[in-house]
Amino acid sequence: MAFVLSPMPPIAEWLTEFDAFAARSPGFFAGRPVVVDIAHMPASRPELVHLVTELKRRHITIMGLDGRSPGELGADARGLPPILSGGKEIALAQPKVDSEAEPNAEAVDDAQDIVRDAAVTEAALAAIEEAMATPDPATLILSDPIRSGQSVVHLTGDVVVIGSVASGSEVVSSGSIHVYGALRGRAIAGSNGDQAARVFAQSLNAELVAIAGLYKTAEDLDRACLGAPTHAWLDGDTLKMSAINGKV
Amino acid sequence: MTMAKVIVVTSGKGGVGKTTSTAALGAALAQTGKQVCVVDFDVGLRNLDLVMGAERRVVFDLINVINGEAKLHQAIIRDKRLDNLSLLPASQTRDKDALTEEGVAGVIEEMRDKFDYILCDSPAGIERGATLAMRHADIAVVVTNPEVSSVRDSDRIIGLVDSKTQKAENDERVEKYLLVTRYDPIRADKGEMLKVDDVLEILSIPLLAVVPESQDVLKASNLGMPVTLGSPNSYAARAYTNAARKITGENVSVEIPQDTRGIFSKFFARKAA
Repeated sequence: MAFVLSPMPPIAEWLTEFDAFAARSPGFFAGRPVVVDIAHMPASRPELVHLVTELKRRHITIMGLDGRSPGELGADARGLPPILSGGKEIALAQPKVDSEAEPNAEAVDDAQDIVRDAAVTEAALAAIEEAMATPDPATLILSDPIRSGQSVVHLTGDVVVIGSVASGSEVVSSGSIHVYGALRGRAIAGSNGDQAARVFAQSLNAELVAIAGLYKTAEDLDRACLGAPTHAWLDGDTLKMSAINGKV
Repeated sequence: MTMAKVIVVTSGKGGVGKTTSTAALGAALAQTGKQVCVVDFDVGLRNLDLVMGAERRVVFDLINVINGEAKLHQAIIRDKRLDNLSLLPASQTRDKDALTEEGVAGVIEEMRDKFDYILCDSPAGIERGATLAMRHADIAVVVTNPEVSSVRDSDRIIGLVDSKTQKAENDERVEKYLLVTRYDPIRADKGEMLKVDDVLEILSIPLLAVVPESQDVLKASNLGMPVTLGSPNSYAARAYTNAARKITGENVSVEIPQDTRGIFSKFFARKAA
C-alpha cells in the first residue's frame, strides 16, 4: 500500500503545510512508501529536483512519481524516482492556526530554517547535477565475487559480475545485471524504472530478482530455472524468467 | 626479520573451531622449526590459553602490553613442549573496547621482529575485535563448517578481509585459504551436510585443509594439548600438519576425508537407523 502526496505550487507553502501535518502525526511516514503526484507541478526539472530533494530530506521514502507521463518529462526525468500510476490518496488536512503559539519565536526559527534549507537544497542540487554531468561508466564490470553483506549500487547502466553473487549480498543497477557465476543473492535491475532491463545469471539461485520494482523471491522462482543459466525480463506487469539452453 | 607473516584465523560464526585450529596450526608450524606466536584476540572470552595448556601461567596479557603496563616479552608465554612456540594471551577481565588500532599495530610491529609466524585467533562476529585481529594480516585462514550458516558468515568475513585490512587498503591482496573443520563424510554423502566441493564453489578461495569431526580434536582441546602435539598420528593432526606445510610454501595436495567404513558396516549402520 502506498500513499499519494499531491504537492501544489507554490511549493514552499505546500512544504510548510506538509511539515505541519508531519509534526501533528509523528512517524506517519516512517517506512511508508509514498507516491508523489506531480500533475499540479510544472514539468520543469529544477522544480521537480527541488521537491524530491526536500521530501528526501524529510526522510520520505519516495516510491515513484505519478500524474505525468514519462513522455511529458522526457530527459528531465533522469535521476528522479520512476514514474508510476495508481495508489491511494491521502488528504493533508488544513493546518489549524494555533492561537497559543508564540508567533515571534516561530518566525525567527522559520527564517533561519529557510536560510539553511536554501543552502542544503542548493548543495543537493549541485551534487545531483554534478553527478549527472560526470556519469560513471555506463557499464560496471566487477571481476571479484560479491560477498555476503556487500551491496553494489550502480545507477548509470548495466552491472556485469564475473564471479558469483553470494547469499546475503545485493546488486542494484539502473540497467541490466549479468552474473557470470551463481546468483545467490538479490539482483535488482532497472532500479530507476527501466522496464527493458533484464537479469542474466549463469546459475540462478537468487534470494530475490527484481526488475523496475516488480520482483520474485526465492520461493516464487521458476523451478525449471533453479541452478540453470537463466534470464529474467518484464512482460507487461509480469516478471518472467526462462532457462537459456543454448538452442535458438 | 621483515619476512614475518601475520596469519589471522577467522570465521565470522562462533563455535566453528577457530581457537582449536589456531592452536593446532601454530603447533604444526612450530614443528617445522619456525618461530611461532599465537595471539588471542578474543578479549573478554579468552580460550586460547586453555587450548594451549598455558592457563595457569598467564601473568600479563595483550591489553597490558597495549596499555604499556607490561613489556611484550613479559606477556609472552613460551610453550613447555616446543620452545619455538609462544602464546600471547587475551585479557579475560577487559572487553574488546580495550583494543585500540594503534595499540594493536604497535604490538604486531614489535612481534614481526621476533617471530616467523604470528597467528591471530579472531573472536567471532564482525565487530571491532574481529576487524582488529585481521587488520595486519598477510594471510587469512577462514575456518568454515560444512553448513550453510557458517559458509555465509565466512563469505561475509572474506569480504571484510578484502576491504578492511591494511593490505586491502594499500591495494595489496591478503592470501586467503579455506579450512573446513568438523567435516563428516558420512553425513556429507547423505546430503545432511554440505560437501567440500559445495563449500569451495560458494566461497571460491583455495582449500588449505579438511579436518574431520573427531574425538582426537575434542580430547586434545580439553587436555590443553593442540591435536598436532597430543595425537600427532591422528587424521586431524595430519590435516593440520599438511596445512602448516602448505602455508610455509610447500606444495601439498589436500586430502578429503572419505567414508572408510566397509560395505558391511555401512549396511548395518543403515539397518540400525
